[in-house]
Amino acid sequence: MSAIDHGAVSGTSLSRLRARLQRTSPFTLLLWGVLLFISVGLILYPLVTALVYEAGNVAEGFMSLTTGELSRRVPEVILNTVIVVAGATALAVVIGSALAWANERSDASLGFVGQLLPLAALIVPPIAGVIGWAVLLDPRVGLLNYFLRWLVSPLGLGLREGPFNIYTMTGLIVTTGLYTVPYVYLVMSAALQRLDPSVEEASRVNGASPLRTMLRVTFPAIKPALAASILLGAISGISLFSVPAVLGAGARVDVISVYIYRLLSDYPAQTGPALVLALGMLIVVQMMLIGQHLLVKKGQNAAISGRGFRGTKVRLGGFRHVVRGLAVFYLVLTAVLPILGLLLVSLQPFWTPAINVATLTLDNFRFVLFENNQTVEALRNSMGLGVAVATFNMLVTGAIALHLGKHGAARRFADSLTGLPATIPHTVIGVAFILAFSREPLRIYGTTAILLLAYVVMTITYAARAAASAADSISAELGEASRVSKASDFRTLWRILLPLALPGLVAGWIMVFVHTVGEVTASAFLSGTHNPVIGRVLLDFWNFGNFPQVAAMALVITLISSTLVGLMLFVTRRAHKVTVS
Amino acid sequence: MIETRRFTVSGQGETGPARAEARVSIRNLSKTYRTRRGAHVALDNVSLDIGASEFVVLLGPSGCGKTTLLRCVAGLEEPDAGEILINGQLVFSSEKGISVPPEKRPFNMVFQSYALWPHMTVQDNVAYPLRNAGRAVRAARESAGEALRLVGLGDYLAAYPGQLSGGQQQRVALARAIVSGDGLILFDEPLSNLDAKVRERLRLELLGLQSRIGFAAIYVTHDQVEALALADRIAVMDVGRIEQVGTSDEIYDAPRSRYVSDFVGSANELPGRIVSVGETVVVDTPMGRMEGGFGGEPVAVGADAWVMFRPEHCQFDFEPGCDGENRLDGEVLRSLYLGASMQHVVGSEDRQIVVTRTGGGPLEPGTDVTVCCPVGRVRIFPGDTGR
Ligand SMILES: Nc1ncnc2c1ncn2[C@@H]1O[C@H](COP(=O)(O)OP(=O)(O)OP(=O)(O)O)[C@@H](O)[C@H]1O
Ligand SMILES: [Mg+2]
Repeated sequence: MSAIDHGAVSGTSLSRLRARLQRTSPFTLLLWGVLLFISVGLILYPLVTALVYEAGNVAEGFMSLTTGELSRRVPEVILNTVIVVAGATALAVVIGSALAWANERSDASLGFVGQLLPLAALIVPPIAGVIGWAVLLDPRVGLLNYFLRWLVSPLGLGLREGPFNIYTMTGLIVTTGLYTVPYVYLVMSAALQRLDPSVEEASRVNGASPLRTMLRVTFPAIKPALAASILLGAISGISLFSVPAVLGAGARVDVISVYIYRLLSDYPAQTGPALVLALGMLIVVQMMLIGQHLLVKKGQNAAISGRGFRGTKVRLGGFRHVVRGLAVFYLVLTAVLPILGLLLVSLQPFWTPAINVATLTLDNFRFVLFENNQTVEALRNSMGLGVAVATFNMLVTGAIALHLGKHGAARRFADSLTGLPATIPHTVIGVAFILAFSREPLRIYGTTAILLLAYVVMTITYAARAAASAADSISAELGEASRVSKASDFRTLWRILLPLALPGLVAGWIMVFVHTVGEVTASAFLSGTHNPVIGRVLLDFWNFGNFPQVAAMALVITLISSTLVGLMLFVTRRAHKVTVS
Repeated sequence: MIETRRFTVSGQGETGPARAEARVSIRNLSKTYRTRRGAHVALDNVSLDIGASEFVVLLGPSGCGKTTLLRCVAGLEEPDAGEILINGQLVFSSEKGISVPPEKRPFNMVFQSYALWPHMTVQDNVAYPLRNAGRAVRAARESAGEALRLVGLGDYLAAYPGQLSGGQQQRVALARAIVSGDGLILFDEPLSNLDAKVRERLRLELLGLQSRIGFAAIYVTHDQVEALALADRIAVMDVGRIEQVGTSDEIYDAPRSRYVSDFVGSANELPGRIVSVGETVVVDTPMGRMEGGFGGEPVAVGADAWVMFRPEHCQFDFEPGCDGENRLDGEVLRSLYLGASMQHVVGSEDRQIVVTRTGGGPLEPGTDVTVCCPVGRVRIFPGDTGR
């Protein structure tokens, strides 16, 4: 070490930077390389390439959207989207925050149901849930409608249809809202957990009623979280594809994501307008994000501090049971009823509300699981992609979270890179991927590779969040103790940090897998007959009217998802026990 | 085993042959934390040498930079400026752009939280440093077993850390630190999570281990009793700086600043004005005239000064041996029973001193007494007395 030339290197910041770079281990460099590949190669490259190659079409598309032949439809589509998103978000925010408040602040604590609530959209993939609701509430052959008509038949109304019709704007709004609730619930209950109840107690002590306290104290304090959940609901609503794709045609309500899809899949494909609309979508979402940053000023979180408060809970009296009942009712709506509907349809040779026990059959399951090439291949592809994407993303994000430590600029930068995809609607990713990857130098459209890349981008934010929470629960001293015991960076990671973070990483893996398998948006855009995946095949079968087979397939993925989510609950609970004891 | 009694105060460089025998040399180390709230100087030009098998304690109040200094030696934190040598090898130099990572520095460390790995058995925890050094599993486990027997945990080889008590866990951490025989162990408040009894016992065991194995130690604590008991030398830290370095008795009996005198042990403090400076220094205080010696820099007659002396060096004039020249008159305000000793508060309502006596009962409040204190025990520090 003393061999280093004293005079040559001065203590300038440049030489320190160089020294730091030289000391950076190859492993760290590899991690940054992968991150860079994901953010540049899978986000920037597709967007820029699409824009560059379609530059001519973009101008043309813009004209056609504003003054040309498409200009008559587009305003209506945008209006529809606004109505659906606003309605669904409002619904989700009301239900989600009410349930979160009940669980965190009232004596109607929801227990196991409270744990299941945020997972509802994972237990039943939204695409399966929507199809379930469609078979329940189809105005003529919907099972639930039929049952309700049978209930009221003694009244002699002689109904032939209804009473409900899911193929309406209301149907779209309610169904979309239903599957947005978990996101709102998660954000709101996290915020309430961090809010010191003594702030609320002070208000109660000073003579305010519980309701007044909630409106005047609790609500303003969690306003940032509320804004965040509204934003989250809106972003997921704008890009939500499965619900309008299943219900929209019947309801004759086009929303923007489906409209873009139609522009690209109809012959001849209208790439220009599709790209313009996708970019518009991206801009709207980014503007909403900026708006949120501006609105929620720093310091508004002042009331939120520390953790682990145990305040007195608001007593709801008999109303408590009503609240609990509502929570259970929500689970019945999102999971139990749709699954029941799917089950009844999947066991029939053809979809009829009049169930004949004698004709029940497992043929549909045999068909989708073994006989039909498309479904068998789709299942195999989706499972394989799920495993590959979840493993890759958890390895990368896990290594980043564990290796870069809790604090510091490096970790913050990495977090903002992995958080980026969450701010890009899936439709935009789908459009950019189609346009960028169906030409040289990367002509991979129609292969499973393009799906792999798309899923990697789309789920890396979930992966990063799960990995961060797993890694940050490990005390920094455990890693440092390994380093001072002369372990290399990689060895510290492999022998100490990874085993300790494993339960959290497994939970994250399952989440990514379930998201990948149930993904519909990018699947609709990027999958075809050569690279079928579950989401795509479900939509196709639905549109062709193969209802019992769709139901069977939706049930299969629901079963896979809920089993894995159950496993996840088991793993994380056990991990909790280990660290507590 | 303690051959060095030299010390450097912050800022003063060390020269010559001393370098060769030092286990650790810290030179002009500075570190500033930059956060969104602004810059915070955690270390300000700190220098310190630690002998080959010397036990040095870093003592100071919370937030003064003890942990930061220790972590800089460990390589877990990177200083902004300065040099660190371990065994004569440069492990950090801001000028030369050298920063050896912790895993390549010859030392081990005991953490405040023990930092045992919950998924490994006690034996594997201790064997881990040896495995990293390339030792075979069998041999590593064997040495780990020996180290654990040394700390009295021979029966717990197969246990998991979660099954042990706090004291036992800290023993495991100790075994893990000594097992690779690096010759330098860093301790960051290792006993602060334990109850008083266990702490005392572990303190003794630690000293026993050190004299048997002979490692150098840098030991961080804010507990002065622990510091005085363990240290060959104590470095007393103020915010970001080393205030004084010395043996326990030097620090205790000859503090060189008001800060050190106040922080280590308890001290009576009286403001005053210097009336004469000769062989001894005479100061007028509100409780009477006092004679003593300068603790820090000498100052001229007429200057403000603080007179400091320790409660246990005081006596009452009705006791034998009270022949000191310093006599302070006052009234007993109250007497506190402390078990081994008795504490008497003497003075008026606005100015009090404490006298600690071993033996003797409480005194009746209101009794007029005269307190005496030997001239050699009174230290006078220049400083603003706010008058
Ligand atoms: N990572 C950091 N970022 C910003 N400031 C820090 C950081 N670590 C320490 N500091 C600040 O540096 C100062 C010194 O901290 P340090 O941990 O060294 O104190 P300490 O003497 O060990 O205190 P204690 O006895 O409480 O452990 C403190 O004021 C602390 O707030
Ligand atoms: Mg500390």
